[in-house]
Amino acid sequence: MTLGSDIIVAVSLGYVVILFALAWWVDKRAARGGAAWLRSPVIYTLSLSVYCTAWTFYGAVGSAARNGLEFATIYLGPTLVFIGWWWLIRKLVRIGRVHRITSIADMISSRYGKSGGLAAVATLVAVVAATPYIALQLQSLTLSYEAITGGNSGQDARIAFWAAMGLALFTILFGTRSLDENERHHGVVAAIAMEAVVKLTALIAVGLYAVFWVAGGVEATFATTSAASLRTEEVFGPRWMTLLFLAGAAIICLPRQFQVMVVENTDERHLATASWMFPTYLLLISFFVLPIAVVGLGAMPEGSNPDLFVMTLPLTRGDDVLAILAFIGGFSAATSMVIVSTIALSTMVSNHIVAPLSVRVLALRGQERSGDVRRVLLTSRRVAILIILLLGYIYFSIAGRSEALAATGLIAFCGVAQFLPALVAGIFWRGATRSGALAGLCIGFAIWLFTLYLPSFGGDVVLPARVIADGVFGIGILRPYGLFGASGADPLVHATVWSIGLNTAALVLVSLATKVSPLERLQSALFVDVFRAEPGRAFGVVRRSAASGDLYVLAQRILGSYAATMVFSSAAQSQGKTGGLPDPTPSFISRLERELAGSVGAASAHAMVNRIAGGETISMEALVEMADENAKLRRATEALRAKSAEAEQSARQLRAANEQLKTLDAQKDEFLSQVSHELRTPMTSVRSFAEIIEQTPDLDAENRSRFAGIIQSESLRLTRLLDEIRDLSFLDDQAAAAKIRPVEAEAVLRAAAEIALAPHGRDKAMLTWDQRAGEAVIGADADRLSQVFINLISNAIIHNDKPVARIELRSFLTADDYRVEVIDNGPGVAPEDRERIFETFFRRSAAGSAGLGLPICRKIIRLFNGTISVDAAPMGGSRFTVRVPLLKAMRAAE
Amino acid sequence: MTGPPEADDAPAPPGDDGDLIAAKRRDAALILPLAGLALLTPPVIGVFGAEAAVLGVPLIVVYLFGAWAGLIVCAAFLSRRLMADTDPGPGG
Repeated sequence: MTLGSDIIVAVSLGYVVILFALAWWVDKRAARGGAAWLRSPVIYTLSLSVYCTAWTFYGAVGSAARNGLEFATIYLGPTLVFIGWWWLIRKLVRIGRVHRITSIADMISSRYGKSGGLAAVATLVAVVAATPYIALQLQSLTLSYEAITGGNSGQDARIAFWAAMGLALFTILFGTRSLDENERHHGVVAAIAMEAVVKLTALIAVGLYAVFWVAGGVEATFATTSAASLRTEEVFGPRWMTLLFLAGAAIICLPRQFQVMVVENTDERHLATASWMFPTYLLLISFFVLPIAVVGLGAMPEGSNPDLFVMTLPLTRGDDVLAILAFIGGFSAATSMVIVSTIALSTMVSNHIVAPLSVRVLALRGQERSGDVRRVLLTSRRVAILIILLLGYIYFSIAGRSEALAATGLIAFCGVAQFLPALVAGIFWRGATRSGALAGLCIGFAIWLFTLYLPSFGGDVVLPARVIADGVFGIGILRPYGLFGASGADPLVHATVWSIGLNTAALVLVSLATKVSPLERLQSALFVDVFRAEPGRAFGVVRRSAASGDLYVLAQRILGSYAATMVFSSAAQSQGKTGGLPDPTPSFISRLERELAGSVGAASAHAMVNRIAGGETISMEALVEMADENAKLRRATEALRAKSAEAEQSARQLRAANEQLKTLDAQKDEFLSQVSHELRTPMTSVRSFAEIIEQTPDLDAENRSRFAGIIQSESLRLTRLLDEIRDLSFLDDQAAAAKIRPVEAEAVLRAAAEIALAPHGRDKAMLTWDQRAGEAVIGADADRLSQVFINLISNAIIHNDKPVARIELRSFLTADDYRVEVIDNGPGVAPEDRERIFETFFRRSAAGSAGLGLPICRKIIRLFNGTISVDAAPMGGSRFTVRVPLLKAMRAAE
Repeated sequence: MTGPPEADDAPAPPGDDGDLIAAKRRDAALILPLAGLALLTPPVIGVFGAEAAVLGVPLIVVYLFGAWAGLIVCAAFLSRRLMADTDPGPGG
């Protein structure tokens, strides 16, 4: 069964007209600011499906018929990349948006110091790698046209040529009507989205037809299929891994994928939706591939081309409408690929090859300031589209006809995968350099050419058959399919391993061996840290000066006068000017360069601006600061944390000090009342006895002398009390420390014990002193030290509640200290009071004095750099321990 | 002068907890494609290459598309939460 060629041509043209009308209408709406629905995640996802070309529509079924499940890798690879969008794609899209990236070559060149050379090489690689892919589309168009009209293969060349010309015209009308300032093509995106729906619908329709119409159910479809017929034993091998890798790389590196994914992205959040919606699309479009292949193998006559099952299955059974739908599906798959691919490639050619050349040519002709760059660029894009399609046609005429569709496509995949090392290293590794990227790309490209691309033309066309079989000059290790003696591998696996492996190795090694230029360093910091860096700050790093008028002329030539005026007036406004041109600050020049980069690519924009500015200097200081943004941020966080901890600590200390002050205040009040009470008691008795003596003249001598005795002893008590208070204030004076001299401590202790015991009878106090230190020289004031010992021993007696106070003295030496322990059998000191009894205003008991003795002791001992403390004695009382450093230890320490 | 004494043992600010959850989501975003790679490559995928069928469809086909769909569901689940943590990026 066949259909008339006039019907098919009419249907195809009608379809194209609908596409064109849609694109035209959308562009018009978009220009008026409408078409918000275009900026939706669904449209974004559908535009990504430009990945699914005629290769998917026809070739996947062919691949499934030949190699079983292998076809799935082409869709699983992108699925894995998209579900991991957060780590790679999101970063690419952010960089693309921040730096107004126009293509994958622009991305690579911009990252590596806005290198024009790198951009040109990348463009060359992309164009060469695209030729088999475009040839594949021409091949599928030709084959499907032949099959549906019943033509013979003699017409091949003619059909393919006219298809190529038609597509070129179509793309030129579509994609190069204007020079958009950010390379976005709303109309094209809308058309692509529609084509995505058409090809998916067509494939699913044919799938349902095959399963439920031709085979008669799911079980019947797979009746003859088994694990063995799917070749599960062999499929999951090195080739499976290689295809997964290549497909994953292609979804990022194919120029047209980069175009729809990064350049045409209008909102980063669309990625989140696409991360699952695009894999869903891939799942749906692959869902019926295997059933169609299986049913086709069973139902179609022996020797039919499995690549065309999608269309020939309904065609041979007379279902013409479905066959036409299938033809349109394949047609839309092929056209969408060619349109986007050639737009992306022509942009690269015009920005990275034509623009730098034209700048040079205009400079030579002395028209540097007048030539219209826009017209040159637009024309060059149109010419480039034509040339790219012609190259695809040439590839098809030489090599394409014999190969299966998938095999041709994989050659292109391996070619564009050469971008992957430079791209990934560029956004994750600051150390990657321009030379490294260039070396890697060139080596990878060369190996790909030699091991896959050139041999694909077949014997004696480009490479002589002898070279393919025996190697260059008959050298065995230089065979394209067995490089360096690695023979026996699948050619694709072989080429991928060598080209990507050596590409990566060259990138890493050369990067490690070369130095980075300041501009590269700046760009690497901006790219690697794109989520942290503020691009606005980077504008100040590159210092240039140029006349505003010159810049305005340049901007007009590239952006057009309307856009240029907008840019300049908004800049003038932000500088606080009411009219005229903005000041040519370094920041403004960099900002303008970025605007221009959105039209002509980073490398060309940089070169053009520098031509006017006459060179640049990059402030190393600002650069280092920029580059260390990350480290700085970390440091700032650390400092902040330390500071807040410090603040917390001092707040805590302040709180503690405040508490202490409050307690001290209370103790002071208490002490004052205590002191006044203590002073009042002897004072009262002195006064009353003095009154008695005065008012009773006839007082007998005995009483008189008794009263005088009381007055005297009370006065003594008063004096003692006042002495103690004076001592306290004296000890606060640091000058007291000046009196310290070497003192024989044991002698002082012996004398003090005698003095302390003297007022008390042997029946009231018993002192034992068995453990003695012997000779111990300490730095002290002998009188003061004695005062401490007397006080401690007296306290032990006075505050004792037992009939006989037993006091045990122990003195001994440690390595550095002289220690005295005074142990009693008294009531002891409650644990909560042990620290407080040494505080100045603490009253220990109602029976005692004002309790100034122990605070005085502590002050004295502190003057000697010692300590005094109290704890519970083993036999129930308390144990006071005095520790004073030995003089020799102090000297040694000095 | 006196600060609230309970300030020291007050609960951590809610931001810390949110950061922790966000970090876990980012980890999950990295693990998901790796898990997918493990599921779709030998040796795991080889296990399902046995001669068996589910409702007439070969086991390996069911597994392949099942794992694929499972990954998509996980990605859909994760992407909403990831996007909630992030800023929309530069406009335009």
